[in-house]
Amino acid sequence: MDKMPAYLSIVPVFTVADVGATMNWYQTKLGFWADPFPANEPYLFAILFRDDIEIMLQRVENYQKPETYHLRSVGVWDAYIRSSEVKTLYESIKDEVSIQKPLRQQPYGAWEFEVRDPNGYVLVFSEMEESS
Amino acid sequence: MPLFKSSACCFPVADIAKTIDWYEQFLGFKGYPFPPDELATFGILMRDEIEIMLQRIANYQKPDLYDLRNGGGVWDAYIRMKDIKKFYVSVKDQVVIMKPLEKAFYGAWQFEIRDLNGYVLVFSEDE
Repeated sequence: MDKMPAYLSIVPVFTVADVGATMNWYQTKLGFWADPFPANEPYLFAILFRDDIEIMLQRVENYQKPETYHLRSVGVWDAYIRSSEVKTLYESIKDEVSIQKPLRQQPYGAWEFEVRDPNGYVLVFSEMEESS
Repeated sequence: MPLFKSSACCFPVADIAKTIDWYEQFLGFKGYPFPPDELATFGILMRDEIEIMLQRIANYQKPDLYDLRNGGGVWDAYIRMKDIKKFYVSVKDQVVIMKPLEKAFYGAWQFEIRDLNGYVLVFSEDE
């Protein structure tokens, strides 16, 4: 069979006013590594890495993310991150970050909690319950 | 240690069904609306290893940020893939191309498209 194009991974891209400060938050609070460009501030771009995921940051001067969370009864998300050990993760960061929604089990079985990053992007951390 | 295994991009959109149709028709995704048989408030698009989530906001119009960044556009999702040249040829006359396939200075082949709601997707393959 002919080789088919395949999608390997998708990376959320966040527009931010301050790439350096955002990188610092993701490194300190969530354990990401960061690769900024250019080498010195003000950075125009950065890739954040942890385990199997990436987030990209693009600088737009004075950018303020519009607040959309309240426009939907169950919240508006920006990235949905599937994790292992989500309960351990929650305990380790819940006093360090802004929790939009605490850890709870959803009707569809996933354990989830929501974090707001310093720019207002809402990250969902999720783990499907083992169906053993 | 908790392991971050995958991340999905989440896009607010006004019309989940229309968005699913577009992604199925032009980009080969399979869409799953919820609830399935009435006005959907949520949807998941899946293809190969990736997911995009759609959340409905009535009358939502995505702000157009593309030109706010000097020297390059503003992106919403960056999709790493294989066989990008073949893929580009198959989609370039079907969708709105923001930037044609070219090799970026950091070595990746990439092109940019705009989806029906204005989200900018970058497709990329490392050489």
